[in-house]
Amino acid sequence: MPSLKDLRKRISSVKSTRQITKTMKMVAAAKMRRARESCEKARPYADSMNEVLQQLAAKANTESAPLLLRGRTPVKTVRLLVFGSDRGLCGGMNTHLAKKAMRRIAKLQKEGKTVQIVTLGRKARDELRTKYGHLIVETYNDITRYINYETAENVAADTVQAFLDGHCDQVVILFNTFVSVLKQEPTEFQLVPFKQDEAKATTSAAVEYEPDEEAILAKLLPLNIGVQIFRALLESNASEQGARMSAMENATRNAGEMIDSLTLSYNRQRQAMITKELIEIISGAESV
Amino acid sequence: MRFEIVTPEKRIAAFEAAFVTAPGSEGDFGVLPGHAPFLSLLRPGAIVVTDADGKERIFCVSAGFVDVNPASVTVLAEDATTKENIKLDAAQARYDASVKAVTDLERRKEGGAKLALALKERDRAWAQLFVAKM
Repeated sequence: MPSLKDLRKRISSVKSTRQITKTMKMVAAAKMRRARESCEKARPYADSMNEVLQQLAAKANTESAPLLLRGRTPVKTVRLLVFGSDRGLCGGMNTHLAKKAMRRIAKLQKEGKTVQIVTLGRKARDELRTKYGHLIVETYNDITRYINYETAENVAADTVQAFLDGHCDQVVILFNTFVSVLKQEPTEFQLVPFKQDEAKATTSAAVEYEPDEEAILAKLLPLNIGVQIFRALLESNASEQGARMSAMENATRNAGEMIDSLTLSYNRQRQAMITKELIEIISGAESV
Repeated sequence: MRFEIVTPEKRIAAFEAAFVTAPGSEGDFGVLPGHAPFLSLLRPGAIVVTDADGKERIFCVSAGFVDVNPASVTVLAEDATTKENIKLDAAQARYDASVKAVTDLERRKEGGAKLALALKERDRAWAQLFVAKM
């Protein structure tokens, strides 16, 4: 049985833990709001870009189209870009994504393909390092603190270069999509070669292109990679803040429950001591 | 017609415009309401928009494209700023630094991703300087 003093100490330490998790939750909530706003702001650009590219890709000649659209066959090396967070304490978000990545890697290796891993964010690297450390070709750390387009551009430039130099034949990105505060969906998306959406490929009005379609495609495809990476960064960041918010909310609740039960046993023990002392006094008085 | 200029990060501006000129990759062009559907790449430079009140607004853009429809003009630029946000001496310094970075890389015969980024930065800085001097 812990002494009264020990109990008091534990209660106060759990209380301060609760204070911290509560603050972290509020910080995450504020950050999440901002992260979601930037997701919204980035949407018009990404949507228009996608629309134009779909139209152009549908028209492009399969043989003379840029390599980024055509792709290389057969696909021998696949590069996976895994987006995680830089900091922990955000629930199972990174673990879920890493699990999906590992399944994917195992499947690709079974098919006899070479896999390269690029991790974005410290936690993505930490999760994958133990099992697939030898496959990691590049890591970008500390990128989620200030997300700007420049970061995405840097990653995109490296990715495009790796593809054009023939280091990889396909690039797939894996990131968490923000569904709600409680739900983050691990998402997979093929970045290179550009994936055409058959449903959207309906060419509308006769649009005039300047310069010709293929020149535009050659210019826009690399831009699009930057945009998609940027979108993944934003989604991943919003997910991180959402996950952290709910994780901290749980922690705060658990701390509260713990405080309640500790307080109960503290009071019980205090009462027991008082009763014991009373009995001692009474029986002492009786014997006199 | 509706004029809109967006970057990957956010929407820079959206308003009713009477006339738009933009630096297309094949040459500058002007758009009046009711223009035929048209899509053009941009080269670094200035987009000048006359709004509904006849006031001129100037934007600086680097890479990107313009999507013209009879009732709207949408500029999708990788990087865009209004003229008011650019300071001449800062733009000059940025341009000088970017030129130096490119020549350094070229002298060391470094190609690939690094050079591509340096060239992009030079285009951007050049566009800002160009607009600042307008």
